Amino acid sequence: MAGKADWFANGLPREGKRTASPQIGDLIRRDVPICHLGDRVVEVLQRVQTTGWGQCVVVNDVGVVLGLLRGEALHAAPDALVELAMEAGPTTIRPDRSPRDIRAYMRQHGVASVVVTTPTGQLMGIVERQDIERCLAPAVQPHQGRYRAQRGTPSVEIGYKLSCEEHSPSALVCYAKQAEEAGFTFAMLSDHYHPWIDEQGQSPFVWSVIGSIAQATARLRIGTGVTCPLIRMHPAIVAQAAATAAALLPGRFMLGVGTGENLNEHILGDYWPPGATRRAMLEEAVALIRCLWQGGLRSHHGHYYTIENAQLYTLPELLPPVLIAASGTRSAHMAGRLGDGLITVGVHAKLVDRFIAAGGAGKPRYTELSVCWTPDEAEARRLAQARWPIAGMPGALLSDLSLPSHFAQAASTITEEAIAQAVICGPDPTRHIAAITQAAEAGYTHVWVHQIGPDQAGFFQFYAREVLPKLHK
Amino acid sequence: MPTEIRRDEVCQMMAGGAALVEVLPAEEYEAEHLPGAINIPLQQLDRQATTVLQPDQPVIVYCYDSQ
Repeated sequence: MAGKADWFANGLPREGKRTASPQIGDLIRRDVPICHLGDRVVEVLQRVQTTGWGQCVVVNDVGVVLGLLRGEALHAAPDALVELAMEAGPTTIRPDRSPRDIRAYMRQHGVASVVVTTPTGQLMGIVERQDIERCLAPAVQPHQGRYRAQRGTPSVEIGYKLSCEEHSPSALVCYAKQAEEAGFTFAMLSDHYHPWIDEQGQSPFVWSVIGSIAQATARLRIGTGVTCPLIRMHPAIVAQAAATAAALLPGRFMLGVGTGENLNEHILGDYWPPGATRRAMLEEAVALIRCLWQGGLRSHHGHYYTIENAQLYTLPELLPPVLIAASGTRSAHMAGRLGDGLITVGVHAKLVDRFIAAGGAGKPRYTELSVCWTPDEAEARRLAQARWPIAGMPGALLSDLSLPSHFAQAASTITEEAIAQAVICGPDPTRHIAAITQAAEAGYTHVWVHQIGPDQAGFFQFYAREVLPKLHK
Repeated sequence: MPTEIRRDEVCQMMAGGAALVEVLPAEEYEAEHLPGAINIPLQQLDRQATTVLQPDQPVIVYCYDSQ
């Protein structure tokens, strides 16, 4: 089979109208580990665990696929030869197949991944069902709700922060409904065990709140902004929580994850690891979550986490995107490499650039913008300092202090002027619009607005009347 | 004299300045073709149509498959 068919079946580049439609070749994960018939299972297991994959493809000397080693076969007989332990002759597909056809096959057979080969059987990689589902997921009203501050400015989608540190669970559900009515297209919920300072006063269990919001809203997309699947919550539990949330919010849930704060993660008496360790933990946690989302019985014996014969029975039709939070260039790089999107707090063009350079081109970039609307600017500044002094604190304090009382002590050194530099205070809509414009120009595609303080109703009125309409659709 | 070549040779010859011609109908070409290919449908392949090719330039011609 030489000719055009052979070219495309080998996943080589193509041009033309049909290239707008993805093929399986566009979704291949090429870094799947490989092994040979004469390898020992124990060596393969180490390779699989190091790379974060749950399986290894068995190939011959010229790369032709002979079998698969996965699941219990990886753990049953460590000294056995791969040849005896593998599943021989796995189903393989070509890269020019349609993702829709392959999804139908995978759904029908309960398959989470399929090996992709050239027509002559050489391994190209693995395609995972979650990647196909994500590729085929209908975009959620891709242009509705997108705004631009002025002609020539990149458009952004405007969201709302459901501040779990400040509001009761019932109030949060009410605010989610009001945000949807006011024209916000998405909302992000912070996930804490403690508020930053006692004055904030609340900290409900975020997954329960999300369940209620799912029933109270119809269009609003909901995300965690962010949850930490490392210490206080095992990633296997976060995988289940997020899968349930995505089942309740079809096509409108996003899992935002980050490396957490000692404030919340110390409560079980665990050691608080340094940032590099937490990034490594997050990388393994994300791989584990995605592994469980593939369905089926899963085991994982990683460096930080173990699961034994775990299976998620409640899986959504559409898997949620995993957005990764970054406060520095190393985490932005990791977000670009691993994530389906980036989350930051504030405007950081450098982090956006690093995210894009590491593989984040074309993926959404979210950021949180803190504001304090009241009719009087001086009152807004006082309120922002009293309720959200962390806006003026350096990042290391945010991640490492362990109690609200410690944050209160640190807050006593933060001036009202420093807070006003970090928070848009007062009723002048041009300042709010300018901040959103600045984020868009820095490369963010989504901005969510955090109204500090109790007056959420006034904020919704202000944005619905004076900010959102003045951003051109 | 026509010679059959394989995929990797296509890339090498293209890098050396060869022309790449798809001889399938225009709608098939428009839907999907190899990068850098031009379209001269087989039914229109005459002296006039090939004036876009240089006489001293190697030409790679392909269709759907070898059948």
